[in-house]
Amino acid sequence: MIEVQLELKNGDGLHARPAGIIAKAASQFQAKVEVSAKGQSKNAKSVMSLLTLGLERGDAFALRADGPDEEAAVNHLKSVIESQLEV
Amino acid sequence: MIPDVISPPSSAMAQATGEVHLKGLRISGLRALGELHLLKRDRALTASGPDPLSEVDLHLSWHDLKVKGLRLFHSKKDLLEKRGLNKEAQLFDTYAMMTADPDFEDVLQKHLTNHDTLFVALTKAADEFASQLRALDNVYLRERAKDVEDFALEMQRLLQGQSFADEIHSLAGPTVLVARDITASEVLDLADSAVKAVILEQGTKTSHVAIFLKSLNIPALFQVPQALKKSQPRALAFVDATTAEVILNLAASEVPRFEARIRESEKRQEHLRSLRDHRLTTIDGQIVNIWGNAGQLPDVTQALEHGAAGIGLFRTEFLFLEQNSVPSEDEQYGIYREILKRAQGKPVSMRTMDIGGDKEWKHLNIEKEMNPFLGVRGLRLSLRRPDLFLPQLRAMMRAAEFGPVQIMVPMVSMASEWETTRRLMEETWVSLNLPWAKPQFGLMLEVPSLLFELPEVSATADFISIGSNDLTQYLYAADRNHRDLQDFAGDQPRAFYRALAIALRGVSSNCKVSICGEMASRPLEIPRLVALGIYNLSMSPGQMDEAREVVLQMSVAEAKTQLRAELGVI
Repeated sequence: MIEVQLELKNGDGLHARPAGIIAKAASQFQAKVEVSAKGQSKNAKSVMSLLTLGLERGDAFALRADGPDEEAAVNHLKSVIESQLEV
Repeated sequence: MIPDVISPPSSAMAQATGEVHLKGLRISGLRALGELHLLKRDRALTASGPDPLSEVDLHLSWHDLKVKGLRLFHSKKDLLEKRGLNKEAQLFDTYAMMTADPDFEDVLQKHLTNHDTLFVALTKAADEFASQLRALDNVYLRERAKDVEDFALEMQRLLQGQSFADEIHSLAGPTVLVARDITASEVLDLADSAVKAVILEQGTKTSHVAIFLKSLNIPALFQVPQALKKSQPRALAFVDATTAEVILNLAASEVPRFEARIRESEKRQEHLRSLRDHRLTTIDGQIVNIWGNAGQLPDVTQALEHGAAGIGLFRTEFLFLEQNSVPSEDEQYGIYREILKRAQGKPVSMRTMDIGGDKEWKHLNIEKEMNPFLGVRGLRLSLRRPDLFLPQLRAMMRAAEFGPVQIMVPMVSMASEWETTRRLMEETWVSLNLPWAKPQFGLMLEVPSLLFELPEVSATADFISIGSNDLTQYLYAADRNHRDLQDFAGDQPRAFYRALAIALRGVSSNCKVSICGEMASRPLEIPRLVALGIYNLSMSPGQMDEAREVVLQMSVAEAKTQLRAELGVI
């Protein structure tokens, strides 16, 4: 299992579009991928679950992957979150 | 043909059928006549409902529904993108992602295993997620609960085979649709249908539904109280969006009169449309150019369709407003490039952000002011915030590869301010070292003090655009948004014209003058403005046809005489 700590820089918070970008990216991997914040862990492959986290700009969260391609999953998602979500 | 009944006099008939006049909020379109079709239904998610698929294998039925859903959402997304409504299209992207959501599917399967029908399972699963969303602190994220519910409703409709599209396409003749509200998904089905007008009891001006009705050019009124209750199913109705009025339950004998009105209106529209391709001159041969104002991408397309000579004002605020975050230089570049592509080689005046004033800009860390219209607004903010201003300038200059760009700055009060800005723009242009034509640099004339600085300013500006809304508000010291001060300057704004006439004498001949405020489209003001030598009028696309007609019927000489007689100007 691999885990990285990140901060949400997206101005509107984790709304439908950024959640969709994350879910699409996470779905490419076999590993179980989760986003954890505020004491909850949610499936990063599910848009609806990501939305229910209610992440706002500046919130810290953990990105965790567990499975055969866990390293690739974390690296890819980290770069997607840092580069593709509008700031 | 022999009529079934002999019509009594129209007033008696009107009484008998219960003719009702209702007012609403004008959204789009002109006039239409049609049979009333009432959408009486409960849009709330319910836990009970017929489930024609409950007998068959549950896994298979969800799988089939999923495929249908994806197909539907993708086709709606494509439809919107084709019309240039990219932001609206995202909603259907979200629905498509929800359709394929693994966690939603898990919850759904759990309910199916508990012997719920698919219909009920959809309600319960959507509710599980929606209730979690409703509990969030963030208002914006909380509203996503409605997206989840709307998505589930769409799926239930598909499941029941009750597609809104089928209902709409089974309508035989011209129809006026009346409903409490319709969804962004449903409104798309009205394209190429028998629905000639839409009346809603609810609905808001800025909703997706309103944007799409405008794009379809379907006459529509929102917030019409008791429209459903007062409508008799299958009776006739006449909708006049230009006066924001609908007449329900028309007597048959009245129909020819309204048909004549519509024919007349259509003929006039056709005539006005035919003027779009003509070179526009006054009777005495003065060329006048009609430009379009735009605040969103679809407005650009619409302005061009209406024969605009270019875009005289593109407000860039929406970029900063809608995102609730500062758009990056590249993101802005992408949008400016798209604007220019849509303008098809015609010039576009892009106004740098007019931020401040009455709006709150949390993400920009701007302090609330006591008197925001006289505060750090427009260029005043831009000059204090190079972190916002320079990326915007660079993005516009880079986009100039795709068409002629005019960069226009708002809220300039003094020649020295303009000079600072102009130098900054020149330096930015030089630093970018781009191989294409340099954009023109100009400014808005909207602060009264600038009226007396025009000789200096116009010596170095490529163009000046009169922002008559703000110029009037500042000149008359009357808040234009104040309920009691609407049209404060009145029909004879003598002070406005005198100030302008005197000021324009000082404008260098190399500096183009245009106007982009609301005045530019008023039939009464157009001859006066042209008489003052303002030959570039910029307005919202819907007003261009009529303005063109005014120009074609006026003479500059006459307009000058009249201006002198009425207002003592020139």
